[in-house]
Amino acid sequence: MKKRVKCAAVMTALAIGSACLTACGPKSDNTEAGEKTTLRVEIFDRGDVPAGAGTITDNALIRWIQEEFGDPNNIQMEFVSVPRDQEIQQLNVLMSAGEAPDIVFSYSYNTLYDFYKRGGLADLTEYVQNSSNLKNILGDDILKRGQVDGKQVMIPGRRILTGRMAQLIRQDWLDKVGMKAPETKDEFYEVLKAFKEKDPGNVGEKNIPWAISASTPYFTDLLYSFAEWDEMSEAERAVTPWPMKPGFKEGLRFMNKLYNEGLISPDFALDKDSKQMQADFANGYVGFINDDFGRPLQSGSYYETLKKTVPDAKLTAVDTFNDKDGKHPKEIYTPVGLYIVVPASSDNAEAAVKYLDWMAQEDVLLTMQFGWENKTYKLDENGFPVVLETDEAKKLHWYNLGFDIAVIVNGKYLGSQERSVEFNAVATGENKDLYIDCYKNSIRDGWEPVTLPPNDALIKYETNISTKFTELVTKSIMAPSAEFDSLYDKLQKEFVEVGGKEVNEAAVKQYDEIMK
Amino acid sequence: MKKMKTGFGKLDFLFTVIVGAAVLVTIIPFLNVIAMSLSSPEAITRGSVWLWPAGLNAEAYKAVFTDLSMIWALVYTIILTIFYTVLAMILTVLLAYPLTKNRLRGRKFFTFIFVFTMYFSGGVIPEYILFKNLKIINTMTVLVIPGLLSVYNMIILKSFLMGLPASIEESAYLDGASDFCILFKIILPLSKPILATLCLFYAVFRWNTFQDVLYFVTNSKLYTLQLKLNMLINITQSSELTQFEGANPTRIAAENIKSASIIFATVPIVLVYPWLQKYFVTGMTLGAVKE
Repeated sequence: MKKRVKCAAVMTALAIGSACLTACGPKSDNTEAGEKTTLRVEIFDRGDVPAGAGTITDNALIRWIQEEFGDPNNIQMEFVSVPRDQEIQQLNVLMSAGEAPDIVFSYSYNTLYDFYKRGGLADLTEYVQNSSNLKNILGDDILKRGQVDGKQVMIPGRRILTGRMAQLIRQDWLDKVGMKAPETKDEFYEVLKAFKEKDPGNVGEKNIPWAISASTPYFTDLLYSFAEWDEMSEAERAVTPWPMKPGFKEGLRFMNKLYNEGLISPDFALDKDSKQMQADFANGYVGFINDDFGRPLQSGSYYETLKKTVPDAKLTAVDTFNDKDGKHPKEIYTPVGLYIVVPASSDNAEAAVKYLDWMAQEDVLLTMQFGWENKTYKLDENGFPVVLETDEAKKLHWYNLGFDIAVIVNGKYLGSQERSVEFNAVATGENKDLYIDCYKNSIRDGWEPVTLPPNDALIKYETNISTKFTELVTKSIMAPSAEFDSLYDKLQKEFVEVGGKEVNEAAVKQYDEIMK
Repeated sequence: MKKMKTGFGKLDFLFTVIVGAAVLVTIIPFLNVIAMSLSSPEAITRGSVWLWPAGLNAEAYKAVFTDLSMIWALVYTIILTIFYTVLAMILTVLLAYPLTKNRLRGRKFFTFIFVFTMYFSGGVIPEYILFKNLKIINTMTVLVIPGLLSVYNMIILKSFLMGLPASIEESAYLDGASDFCILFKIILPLSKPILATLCLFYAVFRWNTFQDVLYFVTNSKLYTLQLKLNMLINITQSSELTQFEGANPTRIAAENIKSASIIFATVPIVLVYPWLQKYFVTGMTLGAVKE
């Protein structure tokens, strides 16, 4: 019997031993390659590397960076890929483990601010002061947005196109009902009514004069145009939650009227991902839409499908949501794309900023964004790069690679905003002029949201108030006209009670302190 | 003796409806994805695809099958899954069998040590630091070793083995069989259903899990199929995000390619089920009833 006991013990020991392998693996010593500095740089992996182009961390452009920047400076470039949509989780792990790359970036100001508060970010003030190229391309206004407590702890990338939403109307419908393109809200309302009554698209019950979805940006510019700016303090204008701003109720009352008269998508509240909105538009049921500017005009989008459904369909850019002063206020983006930081754990802060400064040179930026002339792009008569669509060109360079490596700018940068807009417009082919009109409208009278560092009240109540906001907006729009007032007042009061009050107070206080 | 009722009673009807509804709920999204993968992007934009493809074409599959990185991810994931499953099964068997033996000294202690790990884990960050120090970050090893032994699966196997009649083993022992001989020639052949089930558990776990790949692997050549799929789907879903960033949404995979990729990543593991089906049902319910 003794033998058998031993044998069983051996088996158990075997199993335990292998399970413990993780805990007692070999400790290999650090081998560092000479005196060369290794600069580790984050890069987004969007899973769109073309066949034959190598990998996201090893391709023609990255080898070029090594040759042009790395080798002369005795720096070994190492790119660390982070899956685009899991970026924040991955960053949290890397930062906490002290293993983050030397150059890290994110669109989430709050995440990086949080790293700063925990002492995780290096102070770059001195290095940035000595980086003339970088200062030149970003400018003081943008650099200032990366300063906290007087220190340059983040370097904001420059967003070139700040426009957000633009309105498009079916010109062929307007022609059929014999009306001109609306310029004010009143005219807009008349046009919607005419679209409903005369059914110019001949689509019967499916007719939707204005398509919206559950995603509020598709109609918030209209709500905002009702705001009573004169009645608010500067801080309230900037940071008070919308349902607590005077005038918001009238905006919803207008939407409620449109809903009850059948002028907007009847099932918008169910259309969470806006797919229905786009499908209705593509099928030719829709007269007016307020979408992200430019998106409907790109190839493969729903305007292209619409033209196949209704061959004579034509869109015109309009800007109709005027406020009582005759302006057309709408939310735009801040001129900042992502924020670039260097973790405090990095020994290479200086080299990191040097790399960004090198990137900020015009010719380097051009190569990063478009590759090499005659290999990946050609210059047209106006000096715009036209990307070559051959397989050979794609193996060397592709759109989002340039986009994700040239982190100091967001969107294609061609020297100035005008040139960048025109470049994007040219890329939409026959929609070029429409694109430019849309862009102009999208920034007309635009106001920029204020980015505040996260405060405790917001962290605590954010979910509460955003859920309540959706409920308030959706239910108010869908209420029978007679019940609108009582329902809105009740839900608005609830919004204030579930955290709106606290969030507002904290934000106003914070704003006043910053502006002081 | 009363004659057994045959035919289709009211209760049977009710059950059929309930089970049928459950089947429909499961199968309709699946059919929808198949239909989308065979449709033209244009028809999908119109919202005219539900259970039957519109604008029938195989372009999406062509795109997926000519994408070498997808093919590589498939091959790599299959190799990884097989390798992992075989190793995991060896460990599980070698641990579970001795723990059923009363003559093993410290049996309760060993069992406790393993069960203990079911209640506590270090969390992602300590794990990351540990793997980093072991130099297994960015290798295939990090996807194999840390999850090699599932205590849960080991306990299932252990309970099953304890249910086998001790007399079989006794007689083999009297005939001069060694412990290894008893395990491999007698115990394991008797345990085929449970072994098949555990193999499936391990294989499906390895096939579907992408969180560890996400955290511990940054070399895109070592991405598993599910991580690639996860990236593809989440990125195409966030057209608002790409607009906000200024990236070019039209360069990102279309809806039909997304659907084709889902099918591409799902079919191989679904194919395993029919082979193990005959063991599967017995294995799952074994140990459920004490006699």
